[in-house]
Amino acid sequence: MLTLGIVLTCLNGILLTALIGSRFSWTERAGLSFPLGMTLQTVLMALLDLVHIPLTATSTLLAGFVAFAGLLFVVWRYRGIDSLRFTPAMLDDLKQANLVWVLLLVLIGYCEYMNFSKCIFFPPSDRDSLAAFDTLGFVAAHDHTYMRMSLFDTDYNPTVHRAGSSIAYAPFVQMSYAYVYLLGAETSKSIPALMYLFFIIAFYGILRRNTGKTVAALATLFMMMAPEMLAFSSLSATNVMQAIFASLGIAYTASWLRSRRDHELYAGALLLGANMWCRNEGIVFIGAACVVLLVDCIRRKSYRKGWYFTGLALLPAVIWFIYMKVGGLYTEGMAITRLFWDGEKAGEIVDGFWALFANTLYYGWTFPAFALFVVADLWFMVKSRDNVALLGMIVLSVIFYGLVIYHVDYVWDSMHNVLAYSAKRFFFCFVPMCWYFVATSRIARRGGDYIEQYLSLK
Amino acid sequence: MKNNTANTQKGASRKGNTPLDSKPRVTAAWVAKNLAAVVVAVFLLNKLVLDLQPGYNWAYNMLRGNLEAVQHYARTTTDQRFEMKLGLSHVYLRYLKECTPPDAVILLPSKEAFFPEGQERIFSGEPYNKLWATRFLYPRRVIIPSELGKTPWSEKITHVAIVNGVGYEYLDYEVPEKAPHAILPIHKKP
Repeated sequence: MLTLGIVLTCLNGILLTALIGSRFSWTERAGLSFPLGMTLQTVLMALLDLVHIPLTATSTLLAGFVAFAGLLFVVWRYRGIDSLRFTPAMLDDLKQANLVWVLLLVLIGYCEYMNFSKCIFFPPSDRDSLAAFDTLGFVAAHDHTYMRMSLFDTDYNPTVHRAGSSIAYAPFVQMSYAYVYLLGAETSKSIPALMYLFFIIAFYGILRRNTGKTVAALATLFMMMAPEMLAFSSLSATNVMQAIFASLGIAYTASWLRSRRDHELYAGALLLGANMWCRNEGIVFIGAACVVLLVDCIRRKSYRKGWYFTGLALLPAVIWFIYMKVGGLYTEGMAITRLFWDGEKAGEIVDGFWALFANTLYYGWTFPAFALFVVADLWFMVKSRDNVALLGMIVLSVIFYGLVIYHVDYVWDSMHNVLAYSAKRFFFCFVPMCWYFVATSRIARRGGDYIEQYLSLK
Repeated sequence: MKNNTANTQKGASRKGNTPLDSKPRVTAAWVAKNLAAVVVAVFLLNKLVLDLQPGYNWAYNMLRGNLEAVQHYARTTTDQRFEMKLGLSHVYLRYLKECTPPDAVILLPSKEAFFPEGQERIFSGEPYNKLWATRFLYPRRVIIPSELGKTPWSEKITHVAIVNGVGYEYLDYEVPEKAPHAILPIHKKP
């Protein structure tokens, strides 16, 4: 049953990509299938729960099948099923292979095999999983509801509405865990394992669209091996999953700004929406993308696509907001809503961020490589606005995240802990973004062209 | 350079039997160039990544070490794997689960009882945490000492978990032989 559920999720994801557009490569389709499919599945579960339909294996699978039939019809009717056909031309990279590219793909495959095995083998054991995400998913599956589950009953759990409580966590991770538990899984680890596996494929796919295959493989290897992110990718926590959605969302948005192919814009919007469906702080990436798109809209004097993007990106957040209102899923206020200046707090945040950016033990060569390529690509940025929009989204996201931390009253934790643990994990989002920037900068693309010309089969 | 499959396909079919359709050939020059490039790539990855940056080295060794453990313990059950990660905390909670009915309401002692000051820490993780413990005790309900007298569920306690000898004070009867770890009904059975 679990296998059926995962296959159905992937098929729904593939149909979603087909609905968005017919010009995705199959690498991208395969990579996006699970993240997007699981987002759709969890949204369906939230809607079922909202209308008091018990969450059972039958109801969730049935909802998945109905979505599958609906998507299949819409794709067949409006997009043409031919867009999903596999053609020999899709194997061009193999026909023009070079051994460095093959070596890098083998390394990626081997490292991911080790990581996947580790993730699936060990059950959830980290504190955040057992004291929140995994347990919430497990209990929701057994109580057959998320919003009315026993752990959210104040008569039973009186501290559930306290500031920082897990009741207000965005639902993607808990719901997806509930999904696999409903389908008979013994642990929730199939979700983080599959998410990282499909992410690596999707990241390579979007990179390949924008740069040479060897550079794409190299950047994918560096991205997936960022030490701290790799270690967290096999835990049942939310951070890496948010990084997956946020980074792919920003990458697709940046890719649209370069190519103007609309399917990339809608993929970006959906992925950024999923990022907020995964963690509430995800709003910072939607905010950053919206600011950059607004500038673009003003320059082009055309606002229609900007509105589409904003609407799609905020749709999951709207569903979550309604769900929270109906279910009474709230915590005591923790945001400082007035304007204020606290130099000490601001300084602490800046110092904390800088310490994280400079920490090569956590993120490997990610940020030094990013800084190097920003400087090296400066000429092209000034001359032809190369990757300026992407850089803008990355910088704005950092600033917005700093503002979020600044405006939260951390009554349940110290600022030091927030920077040392929460911010450290939040910075995973920037790891793929920075490698995407590096690999798609003019210099890297030009270098990639030379490598392909020199090494590839002709 | 762009991976636009639709365009590539169209281009190929339009041109028919043009050089684009000719099969790429593996030549001696290609092999030599590629082997040299592979040697350079391996050297650079080794020197600039694994040697120069201990984080990558740690990550790679962590994966290798875990793969060995995965292969060595491949035949273990999920329960045993939980035990490998959580140690005595999981053994203890499993014991509570096995000794109580599914509708039990269990009073779990505080953090101080699990981790008494000045004594060896035999538990790991947060077995005193309501949600943490619920993951292993569900559908049994878990009550923690700070909730006593404050919630309707705290009035429905059926069992008291004893940890490091702490918890006997919640029973309404005397226990002649006090074991350090146990689970006992809150009221003496007639």
